[in-house]
Amino acid sequence: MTEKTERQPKNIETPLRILSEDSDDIKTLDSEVFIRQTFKENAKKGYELLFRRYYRALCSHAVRFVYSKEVAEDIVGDVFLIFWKNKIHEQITTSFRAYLYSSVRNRAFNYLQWEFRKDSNIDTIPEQNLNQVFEETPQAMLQYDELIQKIENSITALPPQCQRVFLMSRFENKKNREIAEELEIALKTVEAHLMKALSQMRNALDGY
Amino acid sequence: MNKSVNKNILFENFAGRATPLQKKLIEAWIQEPNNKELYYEWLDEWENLFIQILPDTEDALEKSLKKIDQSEQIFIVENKQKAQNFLFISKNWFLIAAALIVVFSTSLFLGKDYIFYKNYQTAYGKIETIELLDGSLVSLNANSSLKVPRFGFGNRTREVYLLGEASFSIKHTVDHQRFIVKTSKNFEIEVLGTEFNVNTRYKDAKVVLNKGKIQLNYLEGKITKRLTMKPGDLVIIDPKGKANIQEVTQPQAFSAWRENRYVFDETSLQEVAMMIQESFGIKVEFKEESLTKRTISGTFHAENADELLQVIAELLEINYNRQNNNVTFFE
Repeated sequence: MTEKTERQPKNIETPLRILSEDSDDIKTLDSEVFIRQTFKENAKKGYELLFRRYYRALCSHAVRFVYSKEVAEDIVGDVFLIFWKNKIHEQITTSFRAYLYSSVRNRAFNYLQWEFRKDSNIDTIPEQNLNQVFEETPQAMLQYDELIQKIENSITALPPQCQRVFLMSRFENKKNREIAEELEIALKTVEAHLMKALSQMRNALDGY
Repeated sequence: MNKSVNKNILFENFAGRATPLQKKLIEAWIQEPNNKELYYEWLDEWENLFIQILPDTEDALEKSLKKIDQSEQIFIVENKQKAQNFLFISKNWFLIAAALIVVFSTSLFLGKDYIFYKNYQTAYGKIETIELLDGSLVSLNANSSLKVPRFGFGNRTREVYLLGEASFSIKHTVDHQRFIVKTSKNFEIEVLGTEFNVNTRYKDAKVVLNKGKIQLNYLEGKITKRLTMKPGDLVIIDPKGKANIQEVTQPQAFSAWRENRYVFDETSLQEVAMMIQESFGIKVEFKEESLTKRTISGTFHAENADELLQVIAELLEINYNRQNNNVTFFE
């Protein structure tokens, strides 16, 4: 859990930038200018644009952590709702994109922590980081990239049948019974495969 | 401006092919805010190139907008009440007089409770989070109510009245003000600042402490007793006022309902049926008596009663039949 505190912005050397239309920062954000403008005129419309622009890619990113389509969509949906509820568009100093991606990563990570280490408290997820605009440390950003790799590697390393069962269960949301019937194997075998796959994922999370 | 990293190196990093040295390079590079922006821009580009899943964006957007609408309706109601409170402090005598007339006439209809307390009430199947004036948060489970004094709350003590089930996250005040939860049962809870869950729905009331320290004042027969709880403690108080302390490993499971999650641990179907009745207003019956004794374990997510019923039926491989607010389970 000490890792978690490191993810908080500790020393932000440069002060938070106030974004103005004519500052240099706008250069990297130009693809969002239109969305920003729309938020000013009609926040709901802006929200719709933002959602359509990033929803799919964010889900795709979240699923690399959680390996479940349903959970990934929930995470991204929550991040958007929090964005709206806290009027992030009024206080944000980075691009929307940076906020959305770092929030999704954070939330996906917290979800994994909660799922695989039952001792951590799910109640802390919504309040911990997401209600404010925060900045991720470079170290934490790279750690997330590494974590994604570790999870992917641990799943690729599974024996083919085990991997198949895991994906059917977690990704396609199939019931153990359905998997057993479809692959013509015993229910007990399905359970054993899942146990193995989940313990691999737990291993990948160790040290984070 | 540091330009040591280009898109190729970053893409290699996302694909897990960056060398440790390249990673160091990237880490130094993102220190610059402009590069941090670039990092996320390229991450988005990479993610769009190597998409993993194809969710239905329009469907998700529609659901999201619906959720926003629902939460804003609650907000509007709260604002109206805030506007009423505002009248009292206004310097405009006309408004004060008008407000007094409104208050007295409504009191004729609604009783003095309405003037002195703000009452939050949740419908069946609905969960609501309330922020109190002192910043404390209360999640009110379905079919429950919370009464908060309109005046004097937070002046000397903070007192609320609970019917049903709620989770509290209490803000510690500078002057260490006590927060008291009064219940319809024979006990009350006294705290400084903490998180806990109270359930007064059933014959046996339950209090679970997540964090901090609370004091339980309860009446056993005619004697007032006190009990101090520590995190992870579950106290069950029976109708006679006997308190029974147990330790639970996952105190947060008791407030899982806040996320529409349902946690069962060898819970009998009979108990589940009671929970469904209290939360959704649905009467559950069993065709075969033997069903009541079957148990469920695990954590389930359900947005509404139907989803929950379905999960239960599939899990136990039994069937159910729902007609309006009556459900019958059968083998």
